[in-house]
Amino acid sequence: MASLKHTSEKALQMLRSLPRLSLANIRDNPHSRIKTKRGRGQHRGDFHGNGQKRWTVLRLGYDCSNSPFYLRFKYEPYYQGHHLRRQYPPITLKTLQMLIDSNRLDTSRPIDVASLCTTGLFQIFPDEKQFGFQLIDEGAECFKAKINIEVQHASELVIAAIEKNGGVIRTAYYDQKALHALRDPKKFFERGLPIPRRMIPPQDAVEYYSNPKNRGYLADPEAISHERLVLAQKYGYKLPKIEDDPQYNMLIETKDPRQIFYGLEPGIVVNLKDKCIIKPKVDV
Amino acid sequence: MAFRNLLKLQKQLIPQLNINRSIAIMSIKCGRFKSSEKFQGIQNHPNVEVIENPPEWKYVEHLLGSKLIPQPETKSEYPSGWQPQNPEKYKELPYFIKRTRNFMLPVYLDVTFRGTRRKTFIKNIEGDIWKLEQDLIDVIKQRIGNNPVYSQINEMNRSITIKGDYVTLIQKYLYSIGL
Amino acid sequence: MLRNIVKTLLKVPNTRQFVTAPTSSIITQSKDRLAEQINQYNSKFLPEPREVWIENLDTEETNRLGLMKLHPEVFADTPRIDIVQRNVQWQKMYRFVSFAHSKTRAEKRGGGRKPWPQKGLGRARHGSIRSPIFRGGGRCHGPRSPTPHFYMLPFWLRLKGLTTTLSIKLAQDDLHVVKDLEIPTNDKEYIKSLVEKRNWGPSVLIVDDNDIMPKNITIATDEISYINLMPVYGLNVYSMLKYNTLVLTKAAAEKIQEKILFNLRRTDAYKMEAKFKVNQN
Repeated sequence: MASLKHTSEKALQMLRSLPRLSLANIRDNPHSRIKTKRGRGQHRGDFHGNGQKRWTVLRLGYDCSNSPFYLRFKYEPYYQGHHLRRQYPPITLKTLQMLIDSNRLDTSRPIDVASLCTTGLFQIFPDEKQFGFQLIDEGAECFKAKINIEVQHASELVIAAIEKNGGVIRTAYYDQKALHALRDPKKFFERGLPIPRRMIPPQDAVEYYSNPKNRGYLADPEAISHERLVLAQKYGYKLPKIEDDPQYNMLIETKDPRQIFYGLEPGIVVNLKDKCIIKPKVDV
Repeated sequence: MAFRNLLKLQKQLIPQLNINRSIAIMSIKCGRFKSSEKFQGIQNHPNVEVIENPPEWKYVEHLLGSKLIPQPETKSEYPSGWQPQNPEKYKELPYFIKRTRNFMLPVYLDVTFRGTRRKTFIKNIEGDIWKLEQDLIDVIKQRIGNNPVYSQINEMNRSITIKGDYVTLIQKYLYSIGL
Repeated sequence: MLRNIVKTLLKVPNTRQFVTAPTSSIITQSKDRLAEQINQYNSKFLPEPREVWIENLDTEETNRLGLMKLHPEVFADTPRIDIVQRNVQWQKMYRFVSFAHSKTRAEKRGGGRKPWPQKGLGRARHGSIRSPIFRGGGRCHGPRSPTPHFYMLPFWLRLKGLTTTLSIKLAQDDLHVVKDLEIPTNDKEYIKSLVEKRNWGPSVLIVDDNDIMPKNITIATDEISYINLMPVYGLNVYSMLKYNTLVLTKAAAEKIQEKILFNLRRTDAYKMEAKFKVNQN
């Protein structure tokens, strides 16, 4: 017997005694469609946007002067180089922890831009000068997951929070073309193009990604492991031994600086329909 | 072919102009019919081999992700504060709040009038909505003391609106009772 | 693959497990059993799965062959009449092209010459006899053919429309599930008397999961304008309301549930919410 305590059950029960629903007895909610009234008469009438006996629509940008504002001041110094500034949409550690708690993110595999975008909760728009994600330290106190994550920017506290729990964090650079492939791998594979090589970072980013303090992907691994110790001492936590971790192989999994996807080398074409890979034959 | 030559030219110019190289490489829409290169003949096709059931396929499958939103698991602790619904706990309650498709609580903050008005909005409520409202008011009064709490019930919409920003407070309470 | 998905999705409310989880599921591997516990709804406050008889079409009288459970999110959704109306309106209007056309002053024949001099006559000044203020003049802001009325109803509204209509049909006893569409003869009288005897509404919409239907029923219903066959992909709110009775085959009912449940829980729903683009490249 259907429970009558749910509102939909009550409504459906009511429908049983009402006439059959047909095209003739349906209607929208009252007042959901408001007819826009045209201006006529004393207050809404007058010239309807036009002047009195004149065509007075002003062109875009015109301010009734001889030299309009947008022509007088052709540029402003404050936005110089805006087209060169990279944007990194933020993800908080709290959100990350929530996704892991709710089983939305798989921590048994390394996390990168592709994993975050395929959850369907985050999107990257490379056309809007977005170059990847950055991790924010909001929620650092409640972060308890052990993950191997690769983002495009992370602050010191974020790195400390992740490494404290035995995780691994790297910052890596993806150029626009690589990012287009990474943000929607399925769409990229369907294009049938060979996986491109990732480009090296631009001049102003090389320093950041070569710095072991930022766990940059171009930094010396020895220097990174030294910095891990330094950070642990700075923030006062015991650095977990990754070598003893059962997930060691997953935690140390990294991409080549020229690689876009984990496990897939540049130059191959992934055929989703036939479930095969087309590789260039290397002439020996 | 012409486009690729143009790119090569750009690559030569760029170091002199000191421009961010990555931006100069625009997205090439080769996937489209009109802008893709014409087929030059089978003799010019690169030498390739097709590998069926390759070992790298597990990486491809991981990249494709899951088509459906994964179900939450029972864990010993949820550090973020989020918790899944607990049937053991909410069984005895006279009301019920259905989670969203992403398993989140349907408790939202409405901010209007340029940030000056904040309202907490809870929806998808079943059962005794009046009892739930009373319980929520009690929880809020524990924080704000014996001051009035302004709330509105919309029975048709199955929702409660409370004046003020009590989203985290209400979420914590609802998690604690298993909803 | 979707069959596996729906099997896990159909593990719903209460402890009644009417579909067993397969051992190899795409989405949840060993997490199945844990997910079950979380998914157990409180029977008090959520709609229960619906049970329908599986009927036959072999005989004119109804023979009940078994029971089938239908998912409440698909077949026991809140009956939103306003959403139904919006769906019906959308279905009517998105492909409607208005060919109403009125001529502007430029298109009207004549009106090139100034009717009378500007000054001297004591009459109002005019430049053309076809200006909009003239009788027989052009229409200023009239309909201009062809005017399309295309728009896309939001994805969730379209989905809700389907679930609501299916729920309403089931609630009003206008939904029947049959085992398959095999009938003994290709005689249209057989179908007519079957519909009469079973008290199915004058118009019947028969939905199968495949678009190639058995031969007999195709021939029998061919002559009858008010008993029509439809594959699952053609199911829409307008048709469900237009026809009095909706008859689904068991396979069709399962497929509908599969598709709707998939769409209710897909991860790439943001793509559905994005602005509709004709060029899908």
